[in-house]
Amino acid sequence: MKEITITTNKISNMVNGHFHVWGWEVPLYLFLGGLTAGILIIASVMAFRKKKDSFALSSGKLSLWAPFILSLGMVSLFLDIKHKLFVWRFYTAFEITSPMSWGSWVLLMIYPLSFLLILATIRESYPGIFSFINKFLSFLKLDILFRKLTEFSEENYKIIAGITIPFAITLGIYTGILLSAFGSRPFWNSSMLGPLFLVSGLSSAVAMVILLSKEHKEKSLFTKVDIALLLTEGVFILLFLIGLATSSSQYKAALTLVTGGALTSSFWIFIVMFGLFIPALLEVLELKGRNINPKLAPVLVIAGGLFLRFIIVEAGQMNSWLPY
Amino acid sequence: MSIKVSACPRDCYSTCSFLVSVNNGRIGLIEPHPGNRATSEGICLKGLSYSERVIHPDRLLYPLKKIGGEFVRIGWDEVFSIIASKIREMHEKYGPESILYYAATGTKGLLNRVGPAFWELSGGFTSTYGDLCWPSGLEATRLTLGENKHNAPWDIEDSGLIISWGKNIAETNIHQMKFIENSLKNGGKFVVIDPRRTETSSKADIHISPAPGTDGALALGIGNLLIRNDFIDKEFIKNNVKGFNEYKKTAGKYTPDIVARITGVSAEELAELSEIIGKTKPMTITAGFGMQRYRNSGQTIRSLIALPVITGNIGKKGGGWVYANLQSHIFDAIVDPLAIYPVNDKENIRNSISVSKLGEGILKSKDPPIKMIWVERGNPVTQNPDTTSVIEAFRSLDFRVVVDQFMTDTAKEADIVLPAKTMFEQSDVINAYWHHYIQLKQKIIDPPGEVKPESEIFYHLAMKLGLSESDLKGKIPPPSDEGVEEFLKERVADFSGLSLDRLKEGPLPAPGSRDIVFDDLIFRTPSGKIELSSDEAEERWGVDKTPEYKPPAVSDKSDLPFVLLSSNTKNRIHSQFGNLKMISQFDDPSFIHINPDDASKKGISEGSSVEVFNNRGIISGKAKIDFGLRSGSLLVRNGRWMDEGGSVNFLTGQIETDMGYGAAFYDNRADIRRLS
Amino acid sequence: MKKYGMVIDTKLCVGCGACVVACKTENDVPEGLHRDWIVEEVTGKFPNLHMEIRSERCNHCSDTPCVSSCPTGASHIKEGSNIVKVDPDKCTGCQACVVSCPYNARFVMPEGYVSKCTFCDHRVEKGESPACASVCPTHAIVFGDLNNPMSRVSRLLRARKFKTIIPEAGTEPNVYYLI
Repeated sequence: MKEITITTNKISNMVNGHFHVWGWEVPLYLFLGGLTAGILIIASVMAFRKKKDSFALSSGKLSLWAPFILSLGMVSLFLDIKHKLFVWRFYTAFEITSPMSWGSWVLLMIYPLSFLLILATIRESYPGIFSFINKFLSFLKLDILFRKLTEFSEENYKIIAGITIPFAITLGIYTGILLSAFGSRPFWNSSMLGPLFLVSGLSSAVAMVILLSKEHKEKSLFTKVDIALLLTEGVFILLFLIGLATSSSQYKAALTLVTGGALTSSFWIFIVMFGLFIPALLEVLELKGRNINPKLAPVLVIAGGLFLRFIIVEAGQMNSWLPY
Repeated sequence: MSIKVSACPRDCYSTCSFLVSVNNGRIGLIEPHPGNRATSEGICLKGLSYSERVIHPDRLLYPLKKIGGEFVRIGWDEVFSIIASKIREMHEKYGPESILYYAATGTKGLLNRVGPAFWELSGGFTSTYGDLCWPSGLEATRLTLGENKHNAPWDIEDSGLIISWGKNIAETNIHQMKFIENSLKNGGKFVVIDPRRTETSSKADIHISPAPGTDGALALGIGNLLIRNDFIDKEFIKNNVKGFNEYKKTAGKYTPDIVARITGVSAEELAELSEIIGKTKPMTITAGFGMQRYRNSGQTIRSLIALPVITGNIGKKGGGWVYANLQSHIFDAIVDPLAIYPVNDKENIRNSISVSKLGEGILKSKDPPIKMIWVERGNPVTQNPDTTSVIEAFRSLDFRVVVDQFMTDTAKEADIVLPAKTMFEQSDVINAYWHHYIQLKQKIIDPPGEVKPESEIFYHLAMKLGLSESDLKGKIPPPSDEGVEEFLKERVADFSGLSLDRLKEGPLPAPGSRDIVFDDLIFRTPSGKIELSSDEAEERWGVDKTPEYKPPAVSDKSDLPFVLLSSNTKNRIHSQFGNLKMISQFDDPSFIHINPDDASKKGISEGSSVEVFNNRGIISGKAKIDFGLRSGSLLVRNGRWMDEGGSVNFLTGQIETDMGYGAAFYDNRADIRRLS
Repeated sequence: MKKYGMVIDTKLCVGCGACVVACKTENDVPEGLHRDWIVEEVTGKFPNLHMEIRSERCNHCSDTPCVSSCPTGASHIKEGSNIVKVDPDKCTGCQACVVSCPYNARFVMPEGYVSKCTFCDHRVEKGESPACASVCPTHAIVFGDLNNPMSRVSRLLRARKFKTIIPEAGTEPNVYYLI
């Protein structure tokens, strides 16, 4: 028997008997950050597509979503931080050992890159918006600068895309590293979380393309890509679990959270079943010509990506080195 | 920031010396004064929480008068007029003895004498006798050894064996733990005898858990084995002990089998215990107050004292009987327990109500009946036995005045509530009952709001009653810091080596006090020897001359299944301190402790809402499964307020102990049920 | 360089709570928040139970995940020592440090910044002991420089058996428990 009593109360980090400081804001931020990374990777890769493919969404319209989704994520993060007036302190230091510091600076780079990426295709993708901005800026006598910037982006489309790819990959991996760097939370303390979150973010972005695209060819290409990504994600999750299972006792204890413990059903049902297996199956059947609602699989993939962040953020907090 | 010397005046063994840091009139961190060897290491959490207590938002800062059930702030002049006219009315209608002056042990100090002095000057009053806390142990010690004194606190460092008997040192006398640990480092052994597993017993080499209230039988059983195995000091007995043969006869009846049946302590445990006591020298027994809160308790304590006596441990370095050390009670003409016994020959004081039977005493009082009560330094509604009866008695009176720092359950029953000072707001000289230092509790800050120290309240009342300054001289100090200082100086002046100026620097050992006591082998008993057989015990209390064991009332299991224990916690001094956030953050008084086996029989689990009840009353709380509690007992913390689930004394009877006029708080049974 | 540490004697600690209250008074820690706390660990099988009582706090580790995870440098090591502190003016309240501490020793103040035990460095600067050590009624808490071989903490660690809390978390804690 081992009975531990805190006879004098401890700090208020405990909720329902376990450590809990991060609520919905952080996992939502991690999901939206990963989705942004996925969007930018797709939009950049498409810059290098063969000329004959049009792919209006993925090669053009898609990139406009990036800054908005990222901003939504940043708002979510801002809601989570507790000393809000001091948020600017993220940008008065660069702490090499802190993933969060890396993240805040990467985010700062992502904004200009995504704007340049948008400008590179804006004339084609959003002619209405382009002329509106032109008109609006002409009042401020800034329209020439805007056109020059657009021309610059169009001319350097591939270079911009080439620079964006590594930054977007860093962003995607960072959303996982943020958690895996915490040695004090055994469930998170796995280097698999970086690639897992990157692939998951990418697959959510691909699902978004499938959901929004109006071209059959684009849809079917991305459906194939998505099947591959979901498979990869499944393998990464398996490796992640094996990693916990073959580590020391505290990590094994962390694993039990999803192998019989409190989060078992939500992990296997919402992430593995409805987030990976079923959408992959639906997509395969769809490619084989079965008549399935085409929106179902991508919606499940996106929801699965969201659940993955929520459940992993929760699980990491539920298993600590100390039970108090 | 400045640092001031002071000392804690609470009713507590340790009576710590303080170094108080003061910042802009606010009490800050309190650190230990190195000059008090008994408490030089640190301050307990209650002492540390004074910083909050002084400025607590609930503190009473103005005189209050109850009008239509609500308390309304009134001025001092008005309140003095009301009280003075009530006193006159009582004198005219019923006589002065219709006024009961009830003062408890909420704070120590020489200025506590101002109250009785005032009531005497006013024409007379009724007072109480007895004591709720420890008198049967005091009387047992007095009957056996002649005086209540023991070796210095640090003396046990030299003990070969320390027995903590019925005392949870880790909670109630924390500072003693260090000396025990030092003794263990020196190779000493530590035995704890307690029905509960506690923080203290977790440090022990041996923990013996007798059934509650059967300690006397256990002690006699040990004595029997000590004599049978020739572990006794015959030379010491021959020269210093009266009544050894009678004691031997009494103890001889307590064979290991009988002891096992009574106490639940096995013959093996008893043999081990008596062997370690017989073979380890020197041995000290340090006894608590809990086991002398049964009907048989005086005799219990006498049978405990017999053990260091027959093994020749009295008067030795590292040996002896540690119960109460009144060497610092130099200012009292009569020392406890005699000081608390009824005296009827004193002019103007009727000493007729037992504190153990306060409710009954008031309700049954005659010639004249009690009509008015003045309460200070106490909270009788929750702290005296049989709360229902105390409340009934309170409500039967015409006029009630309560002086307190907070709106206690007693204050709520009053017609007039007067705000009391804290320890930092008036100087006083205090003694102790574990170590032998005299200390000055210094005034450090001015009282907040309109708070007046009690001595000033009495001064102004005396003036209202038409007394003159000269009447009060030497009895009630004038209302100024200088007046108080003069009053204290006069008291201290009688003792060489003591002076107020020296006390301002730190604690001083009481003049005449010694680290080792009874080494002169002078015992102030009738026979001049240690009395294991006492004629006075029989004459005064009607008990056997030898410490014969009588089963406590709780051993009759016929009606209710549980013995009700109400021990103190480290977090409170009785009903004090629990209202502070610093304390309440980790003190949940609502817990009712129950053994896991009993809990499962009753369908109770951790945190269940439960009720504890007997024929006197009901209290409520949350169940706490306690592996350290013996099956068949319940533990409710002493000092709960009404809004914390109700005082445990709703369940205790108005029963006196066999000697000393103590209260048999623990000699009660109860039952528990789960609330749906 | 000073390497401050605490040596806490579990044989002496009775769990009285004085350290907790002293800390709150000395450091004005708001209600409900605690820089130190008391743990009672009961092991064994009834009735043969063993109880260990520990006064716990930030371990002022030699390897500090709380400092490395801080994105702004608010969580830092006080110069010339190993005392881990938080600069409220740099703290964003992101709680990365709170999550990174295996001892759960950090918390967010009502104002929003993170706070924790400082070993009472304002007292240490004046040559005094931290408030908790200064008031401990059984003298179970000893504070000192682990780099000084003649300090009381060093001598205790040489003479007695000791342990640290979850050393396997790998942070090299500097609060030792005598057992």
